[in-house]
Amino acid sequence: MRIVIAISLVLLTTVSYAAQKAYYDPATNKHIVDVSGKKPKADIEREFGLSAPQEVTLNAGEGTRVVNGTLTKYNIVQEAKDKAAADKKQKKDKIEAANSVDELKKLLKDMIDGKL
Amino acid sequence: MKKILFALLIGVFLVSNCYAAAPSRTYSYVSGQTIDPDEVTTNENNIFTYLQNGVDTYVAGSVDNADVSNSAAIALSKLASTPYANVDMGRFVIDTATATGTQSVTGVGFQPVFVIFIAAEPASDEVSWGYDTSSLRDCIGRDGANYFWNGENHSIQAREDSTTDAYSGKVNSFDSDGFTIGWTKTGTPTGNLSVMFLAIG
Repeated sequence: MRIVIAISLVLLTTVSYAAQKAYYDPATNKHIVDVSGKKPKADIEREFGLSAPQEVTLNAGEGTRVVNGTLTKYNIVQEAKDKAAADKKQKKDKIEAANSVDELKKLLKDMIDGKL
Repeated sequence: MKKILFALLIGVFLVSNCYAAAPSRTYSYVSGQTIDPDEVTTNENNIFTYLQNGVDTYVAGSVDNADVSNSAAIALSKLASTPYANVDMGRFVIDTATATGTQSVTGVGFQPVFVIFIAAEPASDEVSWGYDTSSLRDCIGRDGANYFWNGENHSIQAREDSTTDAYSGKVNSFDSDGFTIGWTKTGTPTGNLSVMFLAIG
C-alpha cells in the first residue's frame, strides 16, 4: 500500500510540474523557452534552424541570462530578496548618514518619488 | 438460422441506405404513355419516406444566419470547426538587462492568434497588463515609482521610476507551437521580469 501511495505521489508531482527548458544560440543570438519542457532538443533545433544551442533546465522560479556568452540560470525569487535587502540597506545607510534636516527632507522626497 | 440472420442484415442495410440517401424516382414517364397509379404512389413514397426520416442534405448556402434561431443553443461539439478551441497558459522570465532582441516561446501546443500578458518585476513596483494579436496590441501598467502609464504599442513593459529606462515587448510572430516576442531595451533598465501568458488559438 505504501508503495502505491509513493508511486502515486511521484506521478502527481511529475504531472503537476514539468520543468521548462531554455535554449540560447550564440551564433544567431536566439533566446528560446520551451514552456512545456517536453520537446526534444532536436525538435527545437529543427523548429528554429539552430545547430548547437546551449540548453538549461529550469525549475520553478528560475530564469536565464547570458553571461560571457554562456546561458546561465538564476533564481528570480532569491535575486528579488537580495535586491530588496540591498535597497533597504541603502535607505538605512543614507538616513543614518544625513547630517541635517534638509538632507532628511530630500531623502523623504526621493522616497516618495520612488528614486530611493 | 444463418439464412434468417443474413436476410435480416441485408434488410437492415437496404433500409438504412434507402432512408439515408436523397430520394430518387423509381418510375419515369414517357409522353403518351398511360400513367400507372401504383408507379406514382411508389415515387411519392420515395419522397415521403425520405422527408419523414429527416432531410440530411441542404443545398450549399441555403442555410444562413437568419435561418438559425437566436435561442437555438447549438452545442459547440456539433459545429464542424470550433473557433479558438485551444488555450494554454504558462510563465517565462526575462532579465531586463538583456540587449534588444527576440525571445521565442515554444511548447504551447498550437499556433496562437491572441495572447494576454501579465508581467511583474519582483522587488519593485513595475507591473504591466497587456494583450497582443501580433497586429493589434496595448498594455497598461505601473512604473517603479508607483505611477500609472499606458500604451506605446507594446503588450509587455517594465518601466523604471521617473526615467525613460524601460524594457518593452510585443509579439513579432505567432509560430506553429508558440510565439516570438520582440524585446526593446531603452536606457538601462534592471531587474528580472516574470511574464505570465494566456494563449488562445
